[in-house]
Amino acid sequence: MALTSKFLKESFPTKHSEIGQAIKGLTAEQYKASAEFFRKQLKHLIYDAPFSKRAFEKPKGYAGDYEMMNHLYRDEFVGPHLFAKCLHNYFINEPAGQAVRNRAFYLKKKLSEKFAATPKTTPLKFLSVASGPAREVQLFLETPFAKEGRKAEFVCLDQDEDSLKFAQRSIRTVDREIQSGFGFRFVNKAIKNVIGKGLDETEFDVIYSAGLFDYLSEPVAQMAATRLFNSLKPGGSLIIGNFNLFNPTLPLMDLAWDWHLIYRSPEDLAKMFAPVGGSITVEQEDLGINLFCVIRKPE
Amino acid sequence: MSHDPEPPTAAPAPEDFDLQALRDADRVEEIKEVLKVIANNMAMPLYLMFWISDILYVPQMKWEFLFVRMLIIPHCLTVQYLAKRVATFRGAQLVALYFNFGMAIAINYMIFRIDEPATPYYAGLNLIALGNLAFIPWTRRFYIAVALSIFAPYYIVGLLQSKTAEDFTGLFLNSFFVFSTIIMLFFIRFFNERLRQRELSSRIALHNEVRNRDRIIIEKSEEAIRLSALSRQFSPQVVSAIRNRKIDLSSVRRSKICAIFIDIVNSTERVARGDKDKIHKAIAMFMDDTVRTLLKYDITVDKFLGDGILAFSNDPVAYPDYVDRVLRAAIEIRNRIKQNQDQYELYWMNHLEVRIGVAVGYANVGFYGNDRYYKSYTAIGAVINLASRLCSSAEPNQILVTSDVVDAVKASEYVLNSKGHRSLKGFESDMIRVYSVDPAFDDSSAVESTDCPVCSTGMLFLDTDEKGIFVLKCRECGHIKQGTLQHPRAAGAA
Ligand SMILES: C[S@@+](CC[C@H](N)C(=O)[O-])C[C@H]1O[C@@H](n2cnc3c(N)ncnc32)[C@H](O)[C@@H]1O
Repeated sequence: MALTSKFLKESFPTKHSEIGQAIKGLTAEQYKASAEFFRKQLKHLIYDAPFSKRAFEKPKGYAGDYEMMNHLYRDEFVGPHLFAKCLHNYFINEPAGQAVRNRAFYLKKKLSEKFAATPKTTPLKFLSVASGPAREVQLFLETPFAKEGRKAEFVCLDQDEDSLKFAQRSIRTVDREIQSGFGFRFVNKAIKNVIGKGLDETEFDVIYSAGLFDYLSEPVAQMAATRLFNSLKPGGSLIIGNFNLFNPTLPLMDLAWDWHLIYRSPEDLAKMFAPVGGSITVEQEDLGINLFCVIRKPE
Repeated sequence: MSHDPEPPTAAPAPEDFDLQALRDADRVEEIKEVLKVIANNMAMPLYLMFWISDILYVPQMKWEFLFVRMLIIPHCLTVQYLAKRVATFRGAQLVALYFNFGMAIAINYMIFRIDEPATPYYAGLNLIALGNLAFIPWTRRFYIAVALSIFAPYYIVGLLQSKTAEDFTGLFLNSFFVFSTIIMLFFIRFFNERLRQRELSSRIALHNEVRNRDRIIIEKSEEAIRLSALSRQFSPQVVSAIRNRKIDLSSVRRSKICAIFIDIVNSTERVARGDKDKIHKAIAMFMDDTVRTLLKYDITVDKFLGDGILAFSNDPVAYPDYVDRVLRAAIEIRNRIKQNQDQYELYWMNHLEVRIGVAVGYANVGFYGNDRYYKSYTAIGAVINLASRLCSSAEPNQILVTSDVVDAVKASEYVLNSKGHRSLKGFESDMIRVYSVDPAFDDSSAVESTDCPVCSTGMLFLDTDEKGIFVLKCRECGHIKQGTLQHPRAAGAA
């Protein structure tokens, strides 16, 4: 099994970088036809892998639901047959999958930094927008900061109730052992509610969102960011994740899974969120595939 | 005005004149006129004047002929008397025929008395023909009859009296002149008639044109008034569809609608007690907030009843989600009022709250009212009363609906709580199951104050495109708001 996996890892990427080259100059129609052809030819091969199947079928109406995230985090060999199992594992270890796992670590680091940078007596409040499994919170609970007995509150906002329930269960399971004393709240809202009316709460120290803004066109992203920014404490920061222009897994996502994101460069992000106000820096996770635009609200 | 579905300019002027009938009426007048002129100015003087030729040519019969000639006077008077009375074209021609025959018979009598078939007196007949055949607008048939009435007696007399070859030759020679006269006059007559017809038809065309212009002006101004009235009831896109005649509202029809009734709590008491100006301002603000929201969801505003508003969806434009539209609008109206509460309180001097009732069912929908005064697009049916009763039965800030409404909406968007069965006035025979409606999310998918920059009538809504990307899109014209950045897609090459 490991061998097959290794083989795939070695042979596939060279192939699909060629795909990228091949589809580069196509018109929309040509692209559509080749996507259909590609899917027809490889259907029996790729869509047996559970990750691939879910990505393509989008049972929740969009590709990146929390179950997809869980596949990425679990790093398993699952599927109806050996080839599918290997392919599944291969897919979730594609650079984009790795980058998504990295972003949980990146966010954990940002949470830790906030804890380190503030006096232990100051209560803190965090919000994750489109929280999904809230993996970063689970990871954070395993850091020493969780054992300081500090007052802190974590709010998860997601449009998918199942996703919130899952996050709640996972966080409880971890916290039962840690006994952090933190508060956890779960808000069932969609981003359009946030754009329409803003958040009900303010005074957040950090508001972050990964895996959402890649789906928002520029005007929508600006409105959403403005709403979120308004709910920050002075000195708080808004961290917005977005895929970088450079994503080696793009041909696979586009062609095989019909999974479309808006890819943005660090400059794009800085320019796009300039109207929101605040000082902007753009950071990235280890692979540089996921960028984070950090917008700090002045004290 | 009539709700003629055809644009007035597209339809040619209806040909509401029968050219022939008009010309015939014209001809009656013409005949009367010609008869008068011929009788007074020509027949009487000429007959008497030609007595001189009698004296010279047949002196032995001068007194007899004078007597015959004098008969022209009563004849002309009779004819004129008759001419005044006739109304039809045929009648007028008969009178003229009689006139001719009378004159011709006098001449023919004299020819008979002279007993000389080749006598130049036949020229008198030619003169009669000249005066009458040329000037009176005969039909062909009458033309022939008149010609016969003048010349037939002449030939009968002539043929009977001819004894010598000379007589026959003379008669034959005269015939040349007679026939030439008849034929020439025939051409003159019908050429003239053609001209008259042509002139008449251009006169009619001009008349039609003028009348049509007037009609268009009237219709256009009436339409302008109607359209401004429409914009109080319908959203701009529906008004423009009505104007472009994509929607025809000319008839009353039976439609399934969702009716909504919105009323201010305790308004009667407030209006009686509060400061008039301020209360008016509060009500105007309420109307504005409400109507604007209703029109945004393409809900037709039916009427204002006191300070309540009645509206309905699904007509004139049908939407599969017509019930959802009403509930969304109801929720948004309630939210808007809550949001603007500070301002409302300033004028209303109290908390301003509304009750809302919503029901679905069939109604007769169309323009009711009178042509001259205000005509409004109205729904009439039990569903309207039901919505109104539900509204009065609702608590302040409550949206109360029937189970039919609940069945017709996307349940996941709302929290629907059963409020038991109620007996509503006018619907006593049924206990009606009612529900309160609240949003599942605190939703407002329309982004405030973002009118579409392209069509300017629509609003931008948050929507997803075919790739699953969230965009700001106009539901009216499909315009998608773009950002300022370019996004070259990554090629994905490592
Ligand atoms: C790609 S996951 C990201 C999860 C997490 N932030 C992470 O980085 O692992 C996307 C999550 O966003 C949620 N989501 C998708 N569209 C949303 C929307 N319009 N409003 C709120 N949440 C949304 C989904 O339910 C899903 O849980």
